[in-house]
Amino acid sequence: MNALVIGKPNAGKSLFVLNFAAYLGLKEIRLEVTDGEGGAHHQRLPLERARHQLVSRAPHRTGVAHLIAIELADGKSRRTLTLVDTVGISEGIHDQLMVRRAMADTLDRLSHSHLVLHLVDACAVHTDRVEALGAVDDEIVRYASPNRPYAILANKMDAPGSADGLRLVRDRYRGLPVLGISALTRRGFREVKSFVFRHLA
Amino acid sequence: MPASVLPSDHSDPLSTREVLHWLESGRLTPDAALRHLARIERHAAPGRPDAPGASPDRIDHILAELNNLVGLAEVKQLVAELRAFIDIQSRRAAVGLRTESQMLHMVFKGAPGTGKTTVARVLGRLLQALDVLPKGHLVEVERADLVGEYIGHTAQKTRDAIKRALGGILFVDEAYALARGGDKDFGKEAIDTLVAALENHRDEFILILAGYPDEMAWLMASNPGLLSRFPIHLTFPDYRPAELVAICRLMLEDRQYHLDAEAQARLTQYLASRAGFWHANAGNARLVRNLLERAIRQQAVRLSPLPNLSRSDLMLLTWADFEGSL
Repeated sequence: MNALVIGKPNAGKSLFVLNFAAYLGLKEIRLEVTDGEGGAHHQRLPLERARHQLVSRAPHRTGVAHLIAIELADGKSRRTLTLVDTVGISEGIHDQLMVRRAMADTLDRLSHSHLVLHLVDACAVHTDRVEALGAVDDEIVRYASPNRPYAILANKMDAPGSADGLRLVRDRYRGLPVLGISALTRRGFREVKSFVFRHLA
Repeated sequence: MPASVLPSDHSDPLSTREVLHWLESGRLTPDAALRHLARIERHAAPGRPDAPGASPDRIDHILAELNNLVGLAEVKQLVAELRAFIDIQSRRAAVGLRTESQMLHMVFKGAPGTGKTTVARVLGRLLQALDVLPKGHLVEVERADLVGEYIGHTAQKTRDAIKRALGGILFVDEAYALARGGDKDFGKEAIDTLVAALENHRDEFILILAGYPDEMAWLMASNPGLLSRFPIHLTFPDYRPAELVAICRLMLEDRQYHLDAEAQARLTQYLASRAGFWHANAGNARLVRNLLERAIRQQAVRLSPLPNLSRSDLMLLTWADFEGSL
C-alpha cells in the first residue's frame, strides 16, 4: 500500500517519513530514488545518515520523490507499506523547471496513492511565512479527502505557538481528522500508526 | 522566488496528463492544478471504488501479462483455475473451514521456444502475489547443474539447487536427460533426491519439470513415484503460423520497430508457407526472434552509411532486411 506524504515545502515531510519509518521498526533505509526521466535506482542508508542527507531546514531540500518500503508483520500476513516522501508543493508558479516538474510528479503520485498524510506546519499557520496554510493546502484537502483515507498531520508541535496553530487548523478543516505530531520528538506517532494500520488494505 | 502569475489561457486542461504538463510548464499554479485534477476525476469515474488494495492490483497486472502471451489457451485456463482455487481456499480459511493444500508440482511438455520458461516465470510471480509462495523466484537448472561427477556429489548438488529454490520455483529444463543414462547414471540419484525433497520440503517450493513431450512421457514412466507427484501436466503446443505472426508483431512493438506493408505481407506468407516445414523441434517463437534480430542487424547495415535518418527511418524494417537472411 502506498501512503503519500504531501505538504508545503519545509512542513517537515522528510523528517517525518524517516522518523516514522524508524518508529515502525526500520533500521536501514533502502531508498528507491526515481529521477525525472523515470529511471529508478536503490540506495542503502543507515537511518542516521539518511536523516543527515535528506533533511534540512531550507525549503525544497527534497528534489525528487523518495519511496521507503516497510515490511509490516501484522499477525500472520505480511504487508508492505510504502511511505512516499514527496517534493513540497508551493504557492504560485515556481520559477525553476526542475521544481515544477517535481511538483507535477508529486500530484501524479497523489492521484495514485491509497492513503494521504497531509503535513502542515502548526507553528506557522497564522504567520506570513511560506509554510503558512494557503490555497494549496485547501486544494489538497478538497482533492484528497473525499475519496481515500486522509489525515492532516499538524507538525512541529514541539515548537512554540503550535498549540494555537493546531486549533486554527482544526477550525479551518472541521470534520477531518487532524493529528498533532512532532516529527522531531515523535509525538503523536502512535496515533498516526493506528490511523495508517486501520486503513491498510 | 515563486511568481504569482495566473494562467492566461481561458480553456481548461482536459486530462490528468495535461494538467501535470501545464503545471510543469508553468501554465498552472499547483492549487489550480489540484482543482482541475479533482474536476477531471469526478467526471472520469463517478463510481470509483475505494482505494483498491495493492495485491489484487498486482494479481490483475500479472494475469494481464499472462494473457498478453500469444496462444497458450490451456495454460491460461489452468492459471484461472489455480487462482479460483486459491481464492476459495483463503475464503474457506476465513470462515474456519478446513483447507486443502494442493500439490502444485507441474510437468511442462513442449518443444523449445513454446513459452515454458516464460510461463514458469510468470507463475512464480503470480503465486507469490497470491501468497502461495513467499518469494516466487525462478531457479532454472538443467542436468549439468544437478548431476555431479563422483558418488555423493549429485545429492549434494541437487540439494543445493533445491535450497536456492525454496520459496520459489525450481525449473528443471530438459528434465528427461536425468533419466537417460541408465541405471548406473547419477541422474537417477538426482531424481531420487528431488522426489525426497518433494516430501521433506512440502509446500516450500514448486518443482516444474520441462522438456519435449515424448521424452517427458518416458521420464515419467521410468520412475513410478514421479507421475503421482505431478498432478498438473501442461502441454505447450507448437505455435500456428498466425500465432507466430502475432508474436512477431509483439516482439517488434517491444523493440520499437515496425514493418512496412510489403515486409508484413511477405513475412506472413513466409511463416504460413513454412508451417510444418520445420523440424518438429526446430524452435517456434525463438525462431521468430532470431529472424527479427537478424533483420534488425541487416537494417543497421543498410542504414548506417546514410547521413540523415529520421525517427521513422530508424524504426522501419523493410522486406530487404529479411530477404538476405531467410
